[in-house]
Amino acid sequence: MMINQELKSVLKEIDQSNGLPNRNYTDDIQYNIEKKLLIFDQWAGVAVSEDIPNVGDAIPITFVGVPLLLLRNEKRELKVFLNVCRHRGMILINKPKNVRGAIRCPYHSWCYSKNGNLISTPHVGGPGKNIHKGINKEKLGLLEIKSHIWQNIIWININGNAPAFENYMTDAMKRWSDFNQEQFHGGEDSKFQLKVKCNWKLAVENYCESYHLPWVHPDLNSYSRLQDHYNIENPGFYSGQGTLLYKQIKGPKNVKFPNFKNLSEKWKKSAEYLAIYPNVLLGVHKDHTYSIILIPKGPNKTIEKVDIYYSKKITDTNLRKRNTKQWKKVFKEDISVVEGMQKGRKGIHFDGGKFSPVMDGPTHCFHKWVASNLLTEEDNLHEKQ
Amino acid sequence: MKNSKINKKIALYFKKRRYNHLVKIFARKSKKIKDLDNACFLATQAYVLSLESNNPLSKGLLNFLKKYNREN
Repeated sequence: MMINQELKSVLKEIDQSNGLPNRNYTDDIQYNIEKKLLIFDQWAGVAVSEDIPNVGDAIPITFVGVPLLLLRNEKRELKVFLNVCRHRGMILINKPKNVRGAIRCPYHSWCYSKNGNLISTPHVGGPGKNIHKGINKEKLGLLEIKSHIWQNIIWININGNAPAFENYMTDAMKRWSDFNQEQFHGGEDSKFQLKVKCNWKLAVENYCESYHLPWVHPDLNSYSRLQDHYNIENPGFYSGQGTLLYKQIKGPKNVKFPNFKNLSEKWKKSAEYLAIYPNVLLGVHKDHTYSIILIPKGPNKTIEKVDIYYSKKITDTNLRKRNTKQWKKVFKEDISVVEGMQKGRKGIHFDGGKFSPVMDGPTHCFHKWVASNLLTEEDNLHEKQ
Repeated sequence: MKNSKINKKIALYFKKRRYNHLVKIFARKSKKIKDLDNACFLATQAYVLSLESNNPLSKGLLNFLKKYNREN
């Protein structure tokens, strides 16, 4: 009952509400509840399509404890499967590889096509007998996870119960429809990962507000002042911030990245940063975009996977490296605050915190999404009882 | 070649994941054996590894196994 009251308090108007309680950031049992409700039941980001560039590329990944296999089939489509053989539950692929023919389970050699179909079950009916009336290959393909690609991100709905992606993401897609065009990954120098000792939600919360910029990112604030920022809130889906003064990076002789095609007037000076719930942080600018996929590794560990994109396949190498360095610096500056907040969640009398009614709207929006998803499950349980 | 020598080779090729070599060995052995069950056993070994390595022998092996109702 106490738990419900704390979550209900989160749902109040921002000037009346408190943030999520400590246990939502520190507790193993709570982490597992949230894993199901906030990640497996939703459309979560797992990787970017550039991670699997070629036909036959197979990338095993453990995502929030679930062994997955990302695979590009002969039609160049990206498929996501459970990386588990339908026979004895053996892990099929241990490390990234290019599958030339079939995927053969290393245990009893059941074979699957790149589309996930079960194509051979050697000796299943006895030595040299590869068929049996009790084994229907058509029903024993790899278990596929619902997936969709948008903004180069591979989104997955592990429990298969979320609305169709286009319906779920309509508003975000509409908001950034100008960027619905080809974006080119900058390559090896345009991706990096950061390990942070905090709950994944704190990374979301820090990303979606601009309130901390003057103190945590003073360099950024020197050209994009707090006053130039605005809040973005779309309850239930995403929140974030925008700036009215985006300063484009320039190299010697004024070299710049080329802009994306046919952008509307708004993007000439603006840039926006959205935290798409649950775990994808995106940024768009007229000349580049980036994504940060948060990969939860436990209640107090998260990996941030960063990828940067441009409007052209070939861009200035030095400028690209500078841009990566600049973003890396910014994201690293955030580590001390998200890790500091994580440590703060051990403060036993901390009540979830008091929001600034003006500056913390995007964070409160995210907290409400978390609380309402958790409370809906609670209500469902009560109804069943 | 003596059986023990072939078996050593098979173990080595499995270790080194040289599946095309194994496909050849198993397919050849399968053809030489008169007992149908044993022939199908070896053809199965060859077939499965040919699937994994995209070896062109897979089609012939599949046809052989289908002929004796060992694959569909």
